[in-house]
Order: sequence, then structure tokens, then C-alpha cells
Amino acid sequence: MSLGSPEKYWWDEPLDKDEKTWVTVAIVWAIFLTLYMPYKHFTGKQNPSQEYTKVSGDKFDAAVDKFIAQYKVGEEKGLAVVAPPPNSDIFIRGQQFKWDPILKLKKGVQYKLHLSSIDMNHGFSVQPVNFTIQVVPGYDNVLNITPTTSGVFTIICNEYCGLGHHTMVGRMYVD
Amino acid sequence: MSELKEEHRPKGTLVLVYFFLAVMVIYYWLSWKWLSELWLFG
Amino acid sequence: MAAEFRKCPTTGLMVHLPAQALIKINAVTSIVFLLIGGILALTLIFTRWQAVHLLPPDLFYRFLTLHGIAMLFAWIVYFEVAVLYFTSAVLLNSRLAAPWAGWLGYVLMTVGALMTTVAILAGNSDVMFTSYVPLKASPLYYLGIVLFAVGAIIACVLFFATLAVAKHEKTYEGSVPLVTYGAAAAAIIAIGTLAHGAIFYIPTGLWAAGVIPMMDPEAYRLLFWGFGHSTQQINVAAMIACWYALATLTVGAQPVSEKFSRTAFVLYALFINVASEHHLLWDPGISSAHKMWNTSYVLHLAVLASMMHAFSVPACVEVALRKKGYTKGLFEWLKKAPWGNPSFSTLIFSVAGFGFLGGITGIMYGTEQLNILGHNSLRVPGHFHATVVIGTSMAFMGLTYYVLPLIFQREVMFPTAAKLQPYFYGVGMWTVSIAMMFVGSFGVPRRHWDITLADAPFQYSFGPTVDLGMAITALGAVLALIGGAMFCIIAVATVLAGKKVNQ
Ligand code: HEM
Ligand SMILES: [Cu+2]
Ligand SMILES: [Cu+2]
Repeated sequence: MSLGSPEKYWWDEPLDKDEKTWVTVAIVWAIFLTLYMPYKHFTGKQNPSQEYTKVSGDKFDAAVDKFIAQYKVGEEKGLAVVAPPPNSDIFIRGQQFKWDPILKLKKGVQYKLHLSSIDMNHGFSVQPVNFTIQVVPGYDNVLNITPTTSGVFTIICNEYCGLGHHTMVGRMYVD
Repeated sequence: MSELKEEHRPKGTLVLVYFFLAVMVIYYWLSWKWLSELWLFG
Repeated sequence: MAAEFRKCPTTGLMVHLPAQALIKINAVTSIVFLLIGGILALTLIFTRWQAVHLLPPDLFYRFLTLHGIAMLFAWIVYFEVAVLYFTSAVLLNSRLAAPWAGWLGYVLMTVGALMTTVAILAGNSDVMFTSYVPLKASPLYYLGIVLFAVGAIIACVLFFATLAVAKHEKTYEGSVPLVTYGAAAAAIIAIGTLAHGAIFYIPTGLWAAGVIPMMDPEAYRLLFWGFGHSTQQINVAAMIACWYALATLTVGAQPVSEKFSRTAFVLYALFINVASEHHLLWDPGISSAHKMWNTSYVLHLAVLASMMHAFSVPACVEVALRKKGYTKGLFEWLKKAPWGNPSFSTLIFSVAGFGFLGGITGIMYGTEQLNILGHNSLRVPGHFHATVVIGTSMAFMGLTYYVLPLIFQREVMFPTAAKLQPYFYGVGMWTVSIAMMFVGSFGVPRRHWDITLADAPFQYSFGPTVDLGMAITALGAVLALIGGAMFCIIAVATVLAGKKVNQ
């Protein structure tokens, strides 16, 4: 009875064959799960940031402004539209309650994306490709990113960042 | 449990846990497939 | 001394009356918070289902914060405290080591819970239960949680003190029962976790009060989840202890192997707390090596433990039912099981839902790379309503149907409603959980007031499938809320007006 004391000392009870088989299968599965993550880390092409640098809000702000001034090609809804060259460093700034600038990227080209926030945590959720990267103030989340699909993309903030959180929506173009 | 009679053994549970494992393996495999369809990061 | 005890007519156990009083007050308080949290859930789901869009944005975020606190902290932890006293004093025939400490803990928890609730309702603490800095709540919000955690720690220490007293006074023979053993695993996890929580909320509260500078935001996230995630592991261990208790109470099951089940609890106590970084997998500032080490629970040993319980809980039910003569084929025992006993049907919903919905998705979202697919989408609330609602909350509800006659000494009122209650709640919550994960897989964000993006500068539509998914979520929620209301009414009515069980 699980509510009463066992009859003999519990460690002395032998395991049954069904328990032994199941636990063996479970151990194999657990080891597989543990090893598959690092395996995919080395062979897969979708891994989190491998650079973990801190950056102050002011510094990041300045870097984004410089980036915008350098590659600006237009404006939309009051936000700069920026077309950076292939393989360049590109920036997106999260702040209550907007993502800027609007990037124009090329499909199949790699960029070095810098993501940070100058106030709260934000969630960089890109639709409809559907992936989410965490944006944390004080940290530069650096990712070598290669868009593999083209079209118009919407960036939805999916980390609660204040009462205007649901209006924090940005744009990105890939062609 | 070793002293259990054959007809009292938890045969149904064994089927259920292997089914559980199968669902987990399939979902895990599918998830990696979904991941591979995303953009590239690293 | 003996006057402080009564003999339970059903089980023959000697019940320490001061322990009984503490179990009662903690259980009643937990159900009050379940009721509050449930009413809030109603407003939340009818806001997220935008055909209704009930609340304005500020109230939505405020009620969401309070729903998290009322449910995840208050309802669950008060009930766990009741479970700790039950599995120590009552199951071991012992006196509770120091009832005054139990009351002290209760008062601290209650003052804390009320303080945090008031801070949220006052409208200056709309920070979600995660309260990621630089989001700032009122200092009372943090102080309340610290007091609550300290109160709960006292309960855990009292649990161990009672184990010591019982051993010293030889109130039982041999090892402690399996359920007590599982509760001990939960209490070990709880003490470390709650102490960690109490400690890191202090500098956060001092910052909110303007005394010290702000903590680094990523350090906060790491510290928060060291607390926030690990408290979920208390729930897992407590839930599984309840499963074994329910298996015995409903069909007279014996653990198929004490060694097997207890080893699994030891694995929990050792390894389950390691995985808190699975909330930070696509965060900056932490290396992949560290994330992988952390989220793999040390070779997935805690996953192994869960898989062991996943076998031994249904197995002990099956063996017990087969011994009653249901030996035909593979599943006669399941067909002929006591489905009309609300604790039994609850047990099955809980075990199956925790494993198939919560466990499997948890393994996936907790894998470093795969996390990018679901991070902060509705997949996450879908996952944890399977673990902490279908799993833990339902297990506690199932146990309540026995706590009422055994501890409150009242016959459960409205037995027909009680029979149906788990089906409403179980089917409803399964639907909510699956539907949330489904819409989440389209990228629908969690904690979001308006997924039509009406007030945003750029437009995007998630499409009709998602609208349908949200409607189904709401439908499931209605069923679950009916089931939840039935549970609260049955429990409260029984406590207040149930027929006294003969002494
Ligand atoms: C009838 C039952 C319930 C329903 C219909 C329900 C519904 C919901 C909804 C709609 C959300 C908001 C999701 C979002 O927008 O992100 C939510 C969040 C949440 N629920 Fe429930 N819930 C129920 C019961 C519970 C219970 C019993 C618990 C805990 C034991 C719980 C814990 C939580 C937590 C922790 C959150 C997250 C809060 C946050 O994101 O800050 N819920 N629930
Ligand atoms: Cu934001
Ligand atoms: Cu936001």
C-alpha cells in the first residue's frame, strides 16, 4: 500500500523483468536525447547566438542610428527603410513599442544580425516564418541569419513589455 | 511484482508506455523537421 | 496527549487534531484561490477569443498577472502544504512537531498572498508573474512573495521535523510510506527553491523601492527561472505522490515495486532542478554549452524518472484491477475500472494529460534549438496548462474527494455532480491545452491583448484556422470552468453543510 509502510526494506525488493526492460529503454532514450542536442549543434544550421556580448543602451542606440544613416533607402510609417549590403552587420532596435528600422534583405544571403532593446525585454517573433528570439536590454543577441524565404514579414513582440505591448509590430522585407 | 501470476501482470500498461514512447519519438522527429524549414541561424 | 488525537474509523489511523486543523485551513484557502483564479481565467479567455474581446488592455494584463499568482503560487502551494501535513502527521500516526509553526507559516503565506494581490489590483504592478526587470511592480508585490515563500518554507521544515518526531516516537514501523517519500522529495526541492526565491526577490523589491540599483536583466531572468521553474518541480513531485495515493485509495493498488518508484523520486530530488535554463534558450548572454548542460537535466535523468513513474503508476492500477478478476485481454481492467469514482477518473485524466500533452511537448520545447519554434507563443501556456492544471491541479482535486470525508469528516455532497465533475474539467482542459498549442504553432503570441493587431502600424492576419482555434479554446475553457465551478461548489458546500461522517 502506498499509504502504509512497505513490508520489507524497499531497497531489498528485486526489480521485475518488465520494469527492467522499460527502464533500459528509457535510459537509452534519455541518453539519445542528451546527445542529439550537441550533435545537432555541430551539424545543424539553426543554433542560438554563439556570441554573448553586453552592450549598453546608449551604445546600441548609437550603433543603430549609424547603421540607419549609412544604408537608408526610404521611409514607411515614420520608420526608416534600410537596405544593407550582403554579409554586413545589421541592427534591429526594440523599444516600447516599436521595432526599427525596417530591413530590406536578400534571400539566401547571410547577415550578422544584432538585436537588443533600449528599455524592456521584448520578443522578436517573425511571422509567417514563425520563429522567436528573445531580446534583452543590455545584451547584444548576435545571430548570423540567412533568410531562406522571400516576402513581407511581420515582427510581433511576444514578450510582455508594457501596456502598449500588443501594438509593437514591425516589418521586414526579403526579396 | 516478481511473484505476480501471469494473468495479473501489467500487460496493458506495457502497451500504453510503448505507445507513449512512440508518440514522443514521432513528435520529436517532426519538430526537428519543422525546425529545418526555418531560416538559418548560428 | 491522547485527547489531541482521534481514531479515523475508515483507515484506523490516529489523526492529530492540530494537524487536522492546519490541513483544513490550508485546503480551504487553496480552494478560495482556485475560485478567484478561475473567475479571472473566464475573463482572460473571453478576451483572447476576440469574437468577444471582453476586457480592456490594462485589465487584461492585470488579471493575467493575478491569474498566474493566484493559481500557480497560491492555489497550488496552499494545497501542497496541506499535503505535507497529511503525509507526515496523518499517514505516520504522529503528532505534528510544532503546530504553532504551522500557524505561523500559514499567517505569513496569507499576509504575503494578500499583499501581492492588493498590489496587483491597485494597478501599479502589471508585470506578469515573471516580473522581468526593468518592468517594475510596487515594492509590496515583491515583499508579498517573499513572505509567502518564507511561510511555505516553514511548512516544509515542519514536515521534516514531524518525520523526525514520528521516527523518534516510533509511531510507524520500517520505512515511511511511498506517498510520504514522494512528498519528502517535493519538500526537499521546495526548501532550496523557495529560499532561492525569497532571496532574489529581496534585491528586486529594494530596487523597486528605490534603494539599490537595478539587477542585470539577464541575471534576473536566470535567477527568476531558478525559482519559477523549480517550483514547478515541487508540483511534479507532489503530484506523483498524489497519484500513488489516489491509486491506493481508488482501487487499492500496491506499488508494483517500492524500489523502482522510490529510486525515481530520488532522481527527482537530485536532478530535476537543473533545467531552469530552458526558459532562456534563445536568450543572449549564456553559452550554448551551458544551456545544453542545463536543459539536458544531466543526461535527462529527471526525464528518466518521469518515464519510470509513467510505467509504475498505471501498472499498479492495472495489477490491482486484474487481481479483482478483470484479466481478459489487454484492457478489460481499464474498461471495468471505477469510472464513476471522481478520484479515479481524475487520476486517469491527470496521468494521461501530464504525460501525453505536458511531458512530450515539454521535452520538445526544452530542447535548445527547437525552442525557437515555440518560445513565448501560446504553445507555452498550452504546455503548462497540461502539466500544472491537468496534471497537478487535477491530482489535487482528486485527492480532495478523499480529504473531505477523511479530514473534514463530511460526506461529499451532490455525488452525481461529483461523478461528472472530472469529465467537464478534464475534457475542457484537454481541449484548452491542445487548442492553445495548436494556435501557438501558427505563431500566435502568449500574453497578448490583440492578435488582430488593430492598433499596430503594420497589419498581419493569422488567418481563419487560428480564429477557429481560439473559439475552440474558449469552448474548452467554458467546459473546464463549469467543471471548476462544480468542484469549488461541491467542496465548499461539503465543508459547510455536508453530512457528518459517523464517528
Ligand atoms: C478553467 C481553468 C483555466 C483556464 C480556462 C485558464 C486559462 C488561461 C488563459 C486564457 C491564460 C492566458 C494565456 C495568455 O494569454 O498568455 C492563462 C494563463 C496562465 N494560467 Fe491559466 N487557466 C485555467 C486554470 C489555471 C490553473 C489551475 C493554473 C495553475 C495551477 C493556471 C496557470 C496559469 C499561468 C501560470 C498562466 C500564465 C500567466 C502569465 O503568462 O503570466 N491556469 N490561463
Ligand atoms: Cu515589446
Ligand atoms: Cu511586448
